[in-house]
Amino acid sequence: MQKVQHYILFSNHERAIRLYKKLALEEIETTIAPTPRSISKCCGVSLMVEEKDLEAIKICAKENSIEILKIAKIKQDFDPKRNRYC
Amino acid sequence: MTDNKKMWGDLGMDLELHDQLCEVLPQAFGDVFLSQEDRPKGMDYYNMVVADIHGIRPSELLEHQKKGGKVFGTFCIYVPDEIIFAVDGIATGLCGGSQFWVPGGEKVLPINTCPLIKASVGARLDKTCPFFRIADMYIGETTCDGKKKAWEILSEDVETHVMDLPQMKRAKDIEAWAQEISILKEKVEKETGKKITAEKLSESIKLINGKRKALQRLYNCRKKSNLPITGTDSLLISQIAFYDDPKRFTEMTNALCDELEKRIEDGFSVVGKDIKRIMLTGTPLAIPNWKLHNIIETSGGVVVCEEMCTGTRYFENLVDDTKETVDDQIQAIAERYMNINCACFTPNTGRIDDIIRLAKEYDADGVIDVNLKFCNLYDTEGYFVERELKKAGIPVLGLETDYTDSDAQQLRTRISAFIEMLNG
Repeated sequence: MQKVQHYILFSNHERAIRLYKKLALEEIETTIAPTPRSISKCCGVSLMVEEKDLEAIKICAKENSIEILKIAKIKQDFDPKRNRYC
Repeated sequence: MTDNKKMWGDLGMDLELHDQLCEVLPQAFGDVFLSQEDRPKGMDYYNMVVADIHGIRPSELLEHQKKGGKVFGTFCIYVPDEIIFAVDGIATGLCGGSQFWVPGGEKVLPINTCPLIKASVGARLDKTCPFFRIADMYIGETTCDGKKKAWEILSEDVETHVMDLPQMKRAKDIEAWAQEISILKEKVEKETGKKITAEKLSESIKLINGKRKALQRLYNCRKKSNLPITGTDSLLISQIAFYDDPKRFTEMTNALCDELEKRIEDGFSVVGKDIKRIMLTGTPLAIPNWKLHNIIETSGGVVVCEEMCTGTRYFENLVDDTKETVDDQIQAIAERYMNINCACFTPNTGRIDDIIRLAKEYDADGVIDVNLKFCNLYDTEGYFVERELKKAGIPVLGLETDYTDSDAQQLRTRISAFIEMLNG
């Protein structure tokens, strides 16, 4: 079943990790993930986030001068029984 | 913006072909890893490693080379990383685990060669992996016939030093391996212009032992009845161990283990009580080969241990770090590495003992003996593995597979039936 998933994209992985750590201090849960190709072919490391946290994430990024490249949302499904690997 | 494409282009990679692998990785990773529930927070580090798998670490290796350092590509856990790090070199594991690279290898190798060898050769010759392009020198070994001849082909494209691994484990063979390690020492000293001292070698022994201890600590967490981590996640950690910075990897793995041990203390488990505990034994599962773990762990089982090169064979037993001369340190390294029980040795009864011991230590309900197609050594040894497991009353399933997706459903059927049988 497809679910709407939000991703925060960055121009490099260092910014992703910086924001990840700042958000962790504020107890905002994020997951480091590969950027879906449908969103971008450039940025490898993204943060998967909950929609409810988006405003808090933007504020945190601004307060810590961490540039966000893009906030994207896509319909996505992860199927653990897809039987397709790489 | 970090420009991986420029880096890959400068390395002479085939960008268009490489992009085909980049295209499939995020979805495959999501399906296999991100679909899991209750993953430890500490797994985010390993997510990051994979998310930019051909960016972050290759950039670090290039930076090392810009400062005059050398990078050595390795393909086997018998090659002692301690020697390489003692000359301030970086050892990076190069085993290929994807079908994507196999056609490149099949251009020069017989089809009936194991997919790991074909993928490794294909990754180099098709120019579709930055690690293969960056390494200044490859270090091969005479573990199997397929590899022996593959080095001859690869050496026409990249400088390759081959270590002559003995085939038996008599005292004279351990002595011979110590001599091969001394030859490797001279080779890497010449390549880097640096001399290995007892002090430097002692530091690198402690560095690599530290990584082994962290992995042992991770695996100890998997012996528990309430499992704090899946086998799929644990496999990823073992795979990344082969090429990540050893110091950082050790720190992050120990941090993860802090979290896992807390989960155990709190009685938290990522799986239900009745799930069947499966141990894998056999041929290695190089990154990004996640197929078997994914199938087992979505078919009613959980993988609690891997008696594989990407598992206990990688980290069990430490190098004795009390020796004070280079000769004695090399002897200690030779003794530790010759304790690895790979099927390339004859006889290899030590491996059978290890499998039965580990099955008990990890409280396995059953063992799956995995063989990469065309690996004659492990396939033949499977006769002894399965016979002795049956004698010990431990259920066993023998499987042969490769890197393709085409047998996934068939494997799922067989594994599900095995787990059903374990359920009684």
